[in-house]
Amino acid sequence: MSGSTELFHRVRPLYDAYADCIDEERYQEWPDFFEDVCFYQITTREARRKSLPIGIIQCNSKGMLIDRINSMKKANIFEPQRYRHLLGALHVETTEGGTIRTRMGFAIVRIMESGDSMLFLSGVWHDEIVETTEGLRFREKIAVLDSSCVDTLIVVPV
Amino acid sequence: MFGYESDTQEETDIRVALSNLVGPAGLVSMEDGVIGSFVQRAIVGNQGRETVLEMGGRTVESQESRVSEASVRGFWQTYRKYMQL
Repeated sequence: MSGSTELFHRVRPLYDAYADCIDEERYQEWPDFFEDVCFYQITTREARRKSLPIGIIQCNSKGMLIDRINSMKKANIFEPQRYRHLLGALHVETTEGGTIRTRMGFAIVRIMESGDSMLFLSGVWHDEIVETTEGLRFREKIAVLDSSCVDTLIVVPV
Repeated sequence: MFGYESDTQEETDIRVALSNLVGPAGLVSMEDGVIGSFVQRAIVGNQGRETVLEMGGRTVESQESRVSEASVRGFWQTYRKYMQL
């Protein structure tokens, strides 16, 4: 039990830092939470239950995550907005050969430039975390959204 | 998006990669959601009535903004001319 408690206290700050990076709009730093070879997906509860290969987006390298941020900053047209993550319960499920599998619930409030705030997304991350020389990094992060409906667009990472 | 049951894994992977271009977070189509949202907000006061948006006015000429349907108007005006409508 003490082992898993220790693991919990090592993993939890990774999520705090991840949410803080996005909420404080330091988007350029976001890809650094991932390994070079990684899998990042945003999908829906419905698509996952039906084992559909296509969700909302999927990236299979850190380079693709960097592309997303470059696209957001230079190409995409959208109303200025930012997020506030509300983190839920962290479940550390298994550890095998240095790989930690976790689940973490989240809700995201979206704040528009006008000041309008709304509950934008809620869901669960199903993650695979590995120890690297630079600390804990995500090898896999699958954001499973509770709803299949997204208001307008998702441009800021989840 | 759809695939065929006979698709190879490689073909399925290509379809999955292409799906990154479409949908609410699609690199190409996410702006479509913004436009729909703008239009919805603009016409919300007129529920049950008809709303006409004249994007970029009624003329066919170069405009400073991309938010214009001048090119669409130009196409149909030329089409009507050739079709003698």
